[in-house]
Amino acid sequence: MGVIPPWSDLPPELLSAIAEFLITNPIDILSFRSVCKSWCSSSSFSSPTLSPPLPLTTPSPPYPLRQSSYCLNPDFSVLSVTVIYALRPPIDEDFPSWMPRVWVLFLDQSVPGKVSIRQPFSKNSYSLPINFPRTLNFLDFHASELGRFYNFSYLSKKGCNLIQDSFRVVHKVVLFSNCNGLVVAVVLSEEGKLGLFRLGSGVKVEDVGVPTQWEIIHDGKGFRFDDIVEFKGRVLGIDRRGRVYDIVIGKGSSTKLNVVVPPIAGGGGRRKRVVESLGRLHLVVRCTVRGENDGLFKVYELNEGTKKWIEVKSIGDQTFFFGTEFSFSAAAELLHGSYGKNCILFKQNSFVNYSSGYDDNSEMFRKSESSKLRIGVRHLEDGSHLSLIGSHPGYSNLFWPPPSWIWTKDKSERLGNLLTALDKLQSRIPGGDKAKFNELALVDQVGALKLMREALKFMKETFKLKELLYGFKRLQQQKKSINLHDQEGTSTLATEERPASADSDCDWFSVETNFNACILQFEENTSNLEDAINKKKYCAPAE
Amino acid sequence: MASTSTSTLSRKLILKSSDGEKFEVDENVAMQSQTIKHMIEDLDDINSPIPVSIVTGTILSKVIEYCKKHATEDSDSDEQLKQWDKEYANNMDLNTLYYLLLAANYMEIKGLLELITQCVADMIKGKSPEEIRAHFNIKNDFTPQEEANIRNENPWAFEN
Repeated sequence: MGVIPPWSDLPPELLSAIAEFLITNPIDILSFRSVCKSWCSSSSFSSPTLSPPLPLTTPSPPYPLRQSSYCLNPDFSVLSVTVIYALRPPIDEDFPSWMPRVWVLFLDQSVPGKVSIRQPFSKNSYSLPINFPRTLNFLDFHASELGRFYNFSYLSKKGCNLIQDSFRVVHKVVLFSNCNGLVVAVVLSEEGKLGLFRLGSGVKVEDVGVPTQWEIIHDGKGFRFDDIVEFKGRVLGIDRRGRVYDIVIGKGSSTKLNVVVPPIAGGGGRRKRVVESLGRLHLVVRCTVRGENDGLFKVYELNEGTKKWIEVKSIGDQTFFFGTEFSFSAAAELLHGSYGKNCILFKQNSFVNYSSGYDDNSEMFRKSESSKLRIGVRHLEDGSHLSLIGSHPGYSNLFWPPPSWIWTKDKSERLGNLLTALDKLQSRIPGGDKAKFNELALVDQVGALKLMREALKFMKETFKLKELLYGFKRLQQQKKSINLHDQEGTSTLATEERPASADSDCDWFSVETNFNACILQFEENTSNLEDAINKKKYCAPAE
Repeated sequence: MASTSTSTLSRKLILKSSDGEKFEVDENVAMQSQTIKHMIEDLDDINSPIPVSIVTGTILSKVIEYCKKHATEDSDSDEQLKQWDKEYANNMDLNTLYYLLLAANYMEIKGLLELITQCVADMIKGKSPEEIRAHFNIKNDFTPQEEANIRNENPWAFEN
């Protein structure tokens, strides 16, 4: 059998049977189709779906699960998925070592056929500003999936529009299919209650049918759950003391809670979180230490033999990520290059204090320069320091701002575009035409003036930035030619001088990154201004 | 149907591979193949060898190994059977998988077909088109333009 069989000539029905197993990941399907002609024609690719059959309309969580501040009673909710991708640049540029090699993207799909970007670690979606690409082709960015989590949102009527909003009371959703062919969504509420509903009896997640009614698994009496996780084919719940319950979901409406791991000693007064990493389950606890505001992180690993939590001092080469509704672990090497092993990144409020209901470090998070980066960093090896992600560009650049290689336009093009847009916006505000301006009511005159001032300010700033960028580019070119000259002349000195030149490269990159952040900020401002202008009746409509 | 009802378990059939190798198997083992099941229904003489025309002896023996395991339903739990399936598929090299896939398709053995397609799909998961081609030794027969078209046919569109 020396001859290699012709995999490209497999009968179409077999190729499409293989492709069927890939539909849960749209990137795999796209790769499959890109292999050769016969593979391509054997599979169809309709509108890309992150996780079929989601998004799915479901009955809304019942009253006990959303008791707290909510009196709202929507008729139905949407169960949707958020997939966390690591995108890599199309061309592997020579990044400095502190620069992450990837951009971590939270992609939501709550409407079939469309996706939206979430702000990093957050429940809020990011409304794309001017110039931001309206489509992304994942094959261009070597996308790989880091993790996924599920959400509930509800649709409520505002005017004639259906507005989507997240259930703030739903903490976490685990989608689970067991060997009996049940597909179940287990939901943890903010108050530590558990509920579930069955999505159908298909063997695979993609075979789900019409969701059934809700069942309450635990009503919060006696103890409260802090986190839930699917681990090795079981759904586990963790209570406030670190006790682990096996949530055994029966065929009927019988669901049992069996304690499988005893609680930890102490444990402190903040929400406990679990994360699976390299096939092992970890419990992460923030303890209060007297006289220290930082709060200590303690990490435990589940010993599956003795069924006990064992404290560990290191999580090796991994980085743990915690949001209020998800957790995942990734190899540091994959994300930050040489940086960031043995580290925990966590969103504000992902370890809330039981008694106050808030994060103990609210003060620190408020100091964050960008509201999109209210994320804390904790290195496990170095004693006590807890810091904001913004002070570690190696981490913050993983999430925000999106790297320049995401844009199809370069920086000067973006700025040029911005100026054109601002020019158009300005012409829509009444002000130039004196007669028209005088017809307006006084309130509107003031409003129009404010808008005009804002538009002019943005234009001025954009002009300035454009000039700066031009100067920067010229400097960069000069430096390049000097470097070339140096390499030709003094090759023996090159090794000694390298550290210094590496440092200055790092600075160049910082400048680039700052430019990028600045332009994005301008783009966001302009888009906000456009929204404001669209809302004003006295402004001319968009063309 | 009535003629085969009484002594189903004890009856033996002979399967003949494309290269002439003969295998004696229990009827309930062979009946997992829908194709053979239909052939038996039409057959007058049950003792003559049943030709499995496109499957070689090497592959047919592997198919029979699978069918034997799955014919004795009561001996293993679902989980054990799944584990066995996994090891069975993992022990196959890429060439064998290819012919096994064709055999399972031709012989209409649903379980085996699913097992092998899943196994092939798992090999594809997470790989780039170039890596898939290298793995399965497939030649890229697209023009650069065609390839670009496929890549761009369905990008993620943002709602806004």
